Amino acid sequence: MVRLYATLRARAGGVRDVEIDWRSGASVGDAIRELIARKPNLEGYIIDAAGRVVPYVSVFIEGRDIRYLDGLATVLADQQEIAIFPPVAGG
Amino acid sequence: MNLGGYADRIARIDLTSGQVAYEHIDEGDARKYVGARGLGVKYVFDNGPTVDPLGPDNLLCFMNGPLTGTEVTMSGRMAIVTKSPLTGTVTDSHHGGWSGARLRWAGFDGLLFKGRAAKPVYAYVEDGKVSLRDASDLWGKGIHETVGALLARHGDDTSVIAIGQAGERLVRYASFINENDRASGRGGTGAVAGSKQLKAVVIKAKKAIPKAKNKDAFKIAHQRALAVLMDEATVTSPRKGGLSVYGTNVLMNITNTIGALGAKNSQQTTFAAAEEISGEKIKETILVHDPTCHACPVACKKEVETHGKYAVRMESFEYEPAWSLGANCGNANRDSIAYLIDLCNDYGMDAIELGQVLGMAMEASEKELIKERIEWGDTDRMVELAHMVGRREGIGDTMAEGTQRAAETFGDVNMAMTVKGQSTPAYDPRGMKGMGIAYATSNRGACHLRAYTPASELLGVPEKTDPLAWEGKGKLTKLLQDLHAVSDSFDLCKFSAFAEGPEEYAAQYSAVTGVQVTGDDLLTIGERIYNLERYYNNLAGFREGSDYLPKRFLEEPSTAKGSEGHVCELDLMLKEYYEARGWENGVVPERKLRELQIV
Repeated sequence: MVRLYATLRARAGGVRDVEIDWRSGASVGDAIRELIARKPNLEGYIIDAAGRVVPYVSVFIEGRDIRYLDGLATVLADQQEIAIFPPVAGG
Repeated sequence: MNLGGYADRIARIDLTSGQVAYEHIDEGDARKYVGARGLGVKYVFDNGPTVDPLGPDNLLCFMNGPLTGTEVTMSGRMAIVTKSPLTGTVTDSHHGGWSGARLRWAGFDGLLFKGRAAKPVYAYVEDGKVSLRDASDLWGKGIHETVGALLARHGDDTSVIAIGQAGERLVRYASFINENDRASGRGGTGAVAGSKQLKAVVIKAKKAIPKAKNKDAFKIAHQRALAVLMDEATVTSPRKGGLSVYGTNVLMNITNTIGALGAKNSQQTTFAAAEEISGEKIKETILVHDPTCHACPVACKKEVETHGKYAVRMESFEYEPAWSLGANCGNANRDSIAYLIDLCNDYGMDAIELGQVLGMAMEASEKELIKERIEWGDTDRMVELAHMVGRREGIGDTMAEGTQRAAETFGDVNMAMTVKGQSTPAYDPRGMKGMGIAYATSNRGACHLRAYTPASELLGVPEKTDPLAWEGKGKLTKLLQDLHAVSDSFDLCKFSAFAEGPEEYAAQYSAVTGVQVTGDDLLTIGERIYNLERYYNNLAGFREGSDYLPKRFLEEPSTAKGSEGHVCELDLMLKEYYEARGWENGVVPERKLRELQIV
């Protein structure tokens, strides 16, 4: 399952959770590409044209930023949840 | 003084005699300490570090900076600087709205209050003059009623910065509230005013934007800064960026996701119902308006309207009080949070400290250390206790002393999530290590705004760092402390730093004042201000061992996803930090004072 936050949620039509069944061995990148195929308005807001995570966007697996795992190549296990945030900060 | 941006006029108000004297700013001090926080700290320092915070000798400064009220974007801040009755340190607490700009337009860079009035007074500021007026009819009234009465009396183009009953009753974390709901929340500035019988500062001024010293350079610098703030890729982008659309409470879900959201007095590092009190949910349910401040297109304030038992229309539903009165107290009722924030605004008290002392009391109740029953998430009880604190009634009198003193009274100081007597804010340092060293070394007690490390650890500004890594966080904290000391002295909104950096600041400051500086020069000024504050604290008795964290963050590992098993490695970060600062176990050595031209 992919959970969207903040402006990404609004961009996906107000949808918080998108159910995606990934095959064993699928990567985070595979799941995000499937997400964008389902929610085309997210095109360019999570992954850029070069296939990298857009600057200041954060992707988490079980609370851990994929920057500190294997990036978009991080392999997903069953039942894991992907959380995706646009740039966020406050005070 | 021949610097642009300044009014070059300070008022010294002796509340004991009722006399007002006017003076110029020393140009050397303006160059070294800029204004607002920096210059205010210099005045407080010169007044002496050993004064009783609630005695007549304490100095209470209302300061703006050379960029306040100009065309510079996000230049609507005002600093209140004094010695804190909560911490015993020097403190500065800022608010937004229009009062900072109006103080400048009324012809002042600062108002310095000392002494104690024989009866309640308010200060009226207009056209370069300050007069003291009788406030006997306002004493005992809440902020909202006080603001309403003074606006009815003084009309349009007026800002009212007032204290409520909490300040009058010397609640140690009483705030000043500007224009009904913009809080100088932290450190107990309102109690200092209460001890002086100063009910309010009223500023009346029409818009009169100061001209930059170098108009052509200012135009270029202003447009460059505005462009980065407006960029659709940034968090500040109006109506597109996360901060603009959801306000500061856009953070609730991300801190919860990474296991950095303290819950139930930080006994946990995640809150199962975080979504219910998040910025996303607020926008979906109770948001009615997006107010803003002087010269700010971001409009991060979030005005909400609730109905039923906790009916209120108020601003602003911010991340910090949503956490302190929400997750920290096991409370997922967003209507009650809005109602409680408004109670804090009306009594004039710090919503972070109130939420923390409530959470601590809930833990004390759970452990049967106190006879009162205060259950987690009991919103009616929270409202009742907020009133009792504001009025200093019953157990509220103990809680009005702040989390640390109340925990000592309750019998276990380890329940107090405090540093130097001030409660920690909404980022658990087991899941965000930078906040740990930032809390520990903050000169005004635990604070997220001295060094806003989430800019790096969550957003990636100035560069992305891993929230779970401790290495480098000491140096990062020093950099951000110095940078924010400068922006607080301009006085610019901290959120500008999500898009702007030292070079953007330097270009605008140089153009407005005519003092040519680089970004590195500004960081040196920030370092000087931070060291002056630390020197003040050292002289006030904060020596070796004063930079610490509550044991809970050091010894009880997180059990949440994202940060599971982590504690905060404070000692390792402190070593790195002190090396970067050139301090000796938290004490500024003589050579550093000379290097920075403080002595």
